[in-house]
Amino acid sequence: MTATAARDARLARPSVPLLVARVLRMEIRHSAFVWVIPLMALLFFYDPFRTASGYANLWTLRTSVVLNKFWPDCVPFAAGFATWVGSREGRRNVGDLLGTTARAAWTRQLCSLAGTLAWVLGTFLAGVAALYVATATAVTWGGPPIWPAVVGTVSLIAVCAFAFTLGALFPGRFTAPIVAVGILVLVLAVFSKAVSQGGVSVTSLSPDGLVPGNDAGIFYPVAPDVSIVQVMFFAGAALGAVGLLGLSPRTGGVGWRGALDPASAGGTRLRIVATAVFAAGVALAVAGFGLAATARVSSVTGNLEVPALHDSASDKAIPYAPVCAEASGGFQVCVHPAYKNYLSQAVSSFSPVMAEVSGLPGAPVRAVEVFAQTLPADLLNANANGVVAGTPPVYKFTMANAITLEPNAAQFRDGFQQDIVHSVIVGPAGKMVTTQQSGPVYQPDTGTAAQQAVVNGLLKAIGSASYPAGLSAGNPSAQLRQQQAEIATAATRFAALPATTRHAWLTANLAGLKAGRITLADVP
Amino acid sequence: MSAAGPLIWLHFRSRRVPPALAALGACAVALWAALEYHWSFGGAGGATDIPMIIEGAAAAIIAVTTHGPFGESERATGRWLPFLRLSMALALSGAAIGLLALAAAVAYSPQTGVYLYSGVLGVAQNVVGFAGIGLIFSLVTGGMIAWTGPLGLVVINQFALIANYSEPLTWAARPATDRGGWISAVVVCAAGLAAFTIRGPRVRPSGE
Repeated sequence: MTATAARDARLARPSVPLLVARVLRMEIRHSAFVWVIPLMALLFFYDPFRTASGYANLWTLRTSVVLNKFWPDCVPFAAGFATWVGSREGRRNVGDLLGTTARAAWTRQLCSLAGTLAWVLGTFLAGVAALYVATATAVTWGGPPIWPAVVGTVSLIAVCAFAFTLGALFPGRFTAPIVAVGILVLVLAVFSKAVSQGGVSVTSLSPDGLVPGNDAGIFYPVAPDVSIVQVMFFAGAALGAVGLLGLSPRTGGVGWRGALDPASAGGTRLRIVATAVFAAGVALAVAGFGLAATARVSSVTGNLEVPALHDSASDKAIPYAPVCAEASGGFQVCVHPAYKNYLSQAVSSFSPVMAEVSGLPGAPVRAVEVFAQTLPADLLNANANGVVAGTPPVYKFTMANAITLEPNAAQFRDGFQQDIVHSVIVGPAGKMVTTQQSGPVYQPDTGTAAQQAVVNGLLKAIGSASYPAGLSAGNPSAQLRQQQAEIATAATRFAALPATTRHAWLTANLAGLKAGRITLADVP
Repeated sequence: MSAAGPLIWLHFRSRRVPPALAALGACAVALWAALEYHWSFGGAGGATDIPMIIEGAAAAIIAVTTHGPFGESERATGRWLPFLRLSMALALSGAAIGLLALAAAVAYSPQTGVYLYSGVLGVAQNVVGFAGIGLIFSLVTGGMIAWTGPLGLVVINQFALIANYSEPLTWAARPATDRGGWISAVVVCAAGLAAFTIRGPRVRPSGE
């Protein structure tokens, strides 16, 4: 062979990566997924983006919609189109024709899968980027969490690989919608199970789960344990599906027996690679499943952790410098910098209540935001925001209940004001008691009738809602209704007094009121 | 007129109507099982979430049958094609409603709390509305991937159930007696049927 002929031969036969790139480009250009992108954009703005925009300006909370809302949006369409592309050769009955091509069916199918994945992942990551940019403009502290994007990407690859293989195994025009609907049902069923079980154990494999608390990722880092397990499981599932594609004779592979038969078609390398990929995938998925079964809630951070993967560094608090401002009378309010946007709202909530109670025994001298997990769990379950404790008294509060998923300014304000007034007039919001029927339960302390009247009077005077009466569900008795009416009347009377008169009366009578010596009739 | 029967049968076969009926039957069995065994995702849409997805699946199957294998050449065959399209869409929608209603009737047992929360009215509303969206999508995307329309609407309605959204297209998340929901569903169905009857599904260069 002359040098010219050798050069021509090299030019005529492009390299394998170039060939793959050409096939991939063709698959991407001809993908039908482009038709569904406007629908995906509509879905994205309809729920994930709208929901995230309503959440508090916190990285972990807002970006939770990536997996809780956007991921389940993408899944049925990713599955449907992957099935559609996977079933193409069977649907068009071109198996025999393509059997004569130089490359193995597996190579061709992986290029088709990659073409679909390019669109699916491009759409998903574009949505994630839009969400992250919008969040970055709103938050005051922290950085974008990477794991939701990683888990979403890997799990979508797994969904596509699994659906593609189903499409290749069972080609037909009805396969795509049936697989799409089936996977949607599966995703929703697993999500429902994850929510009902608190996301522990194997339900932690569901990328779609509980909405994290406001404090997630703020006082302590979010441990990546569960994300790593999810990535392991879904990567294993993807590899298993791809390996199955290479082995199944129905999809042009060498078959199960062929995989072990050195004389079968497909080439030794293909058989070895397909078998190894399948085995590695199954092993990885089983390992992920096994690790997920050990997932539990950390008592320190409140995060999900997997003991075998847990790094104790995740249990160390993140250092921060609180941001503070002064309410009326020099009352200092300090919050975590992540909640800086809510500081002025907090100050304006504390100002009127501190004007009423400052100087009284037990009134807090400042308010400090703390990690929700450090407060009694039952207190938070009772919808309170914090406790007044220590000497001098300090109001330790959390934003966990104050900022709801759909923020409500009145609820934010009233919660803090109710906590402080109740704490000064009555004392602790409640205590744990042990009952014979149901063991330890939280018993709220709403105070005596006089205390309730004064609490509600003070709250009424500053424009806040009454303290929750703690009535049991159902129809209260006539006697109870009459007592509540008397308390309301006394509260209105007390609220109508001039602020200085109220304060003077409280200064003189607070000790008696707290001790229960003041009756409803004694309230001015 | 004697040729009408074979013509309809050939048209239906070319659109894979027999397998579509089998798939609709499978949807009916799924609905029966969902009611009989109290399948639900819980939460706000507890009683309607699974039936809605099954109704969406039925509509997706109807949407996929709009694809014909003959492409453009079929359009030159005469004046009966629009009527054949219309009759097929109506027949399959009717069959879907009938089969799902039958499944609900078989499972019906109010003593044990087994009944379709939205009733047959809800089934009819959702099937005609979702199928209408599927027919509209077939004009844009071609019949083979027209299932994306009903599926997208099901996803939107699932979110509407969970988050309590209420928009014109979220009729499936509202009570079956809601007049606005019925108006939306019927308008979508009528628009889809009319457009599909007149224009037929889009034929893409790939033939699909």
